[in-house]
Amino acid sequence: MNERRKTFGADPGPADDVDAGDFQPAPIRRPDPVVARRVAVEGGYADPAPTLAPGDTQRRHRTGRTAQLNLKVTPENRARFADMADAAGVSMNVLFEQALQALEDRE
Amino acid sequence: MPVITMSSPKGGAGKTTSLAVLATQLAKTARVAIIDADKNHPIVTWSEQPGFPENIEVISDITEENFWDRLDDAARRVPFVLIDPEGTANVISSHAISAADLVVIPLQASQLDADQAQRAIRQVANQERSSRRKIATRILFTKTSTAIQTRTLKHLKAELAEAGVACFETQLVDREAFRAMFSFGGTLELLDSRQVSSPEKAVANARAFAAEVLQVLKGQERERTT
Repeated sequence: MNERRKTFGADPGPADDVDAGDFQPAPIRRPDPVVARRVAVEGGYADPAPTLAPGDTQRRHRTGRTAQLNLKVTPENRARFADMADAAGVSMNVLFEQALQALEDRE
Repeated sequence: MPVITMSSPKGGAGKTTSLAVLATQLAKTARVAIIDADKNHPIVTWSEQPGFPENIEVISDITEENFWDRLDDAARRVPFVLIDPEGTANVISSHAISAADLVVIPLQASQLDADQAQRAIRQVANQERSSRRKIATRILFTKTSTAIQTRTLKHLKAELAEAGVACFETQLVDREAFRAMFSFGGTLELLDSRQVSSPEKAVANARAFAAEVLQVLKGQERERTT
């Protein structure tokens, strides 16, 4: 590109110099991450608010209890079992596990 | 040492193209790392094609959390680190500005693009205030015409001059060769005139841009040492 030669100001160096060989690797200046993030957000450079991920609204308590055990029992035993669970303050599946354990321990 | 960030919160301004053009020119005489922080990974795609310079390393697994570590790691190994953020105003784009020794804001001569470039300029000022250091910033007009200077371009140039925003003298002209680089892979120098018209003009354009970038960076080095 044809242009007039610059006369004033600091020596700009030759305009056709494409030699990049003088530069050396060096560590960067790390900013305070909290400040850097604040400047980003205040300048409107924030990521859009994240959408809800699975688990944010739903409590997923994983127990590993995935199999069903359907038993025909007498209404009396059904009520007895439920009363024992209520008395122990646990759910019926926990009581079932405790009962099995107790049986095994007794043997 | 220099970290160069291409910054524009708008996609399609010419960030990736300008970065690729600059990287290949620098890679002739120095090692270059490119941080491709665009989720579409355009630089990665380009680098996988034949003819990609061995002197250029591409880093693409960038998150907001690992940004500074990845950048520091690259800067300790390689003299030039070029950052291509996503064309949106996100946290990584802001970090990329704050990390830069030179921010290049590619701008197509349209009012819509200018409005977005203004956001980048403002964010540079915000980062300068917070880090209490000057960040060299230059507008690079992209996709300009060789034949005519549009009124919008003329108007924007005048306005930028008035606002004290520096522009590169070199403009990245709208050339098929700059697009072809991404379809054929490799550098502009590898394109031949049967594939695309006047690749040598694109090379000259690229060299002029790289020379101006180096002029700014060498000026900074001189200031640091004196």
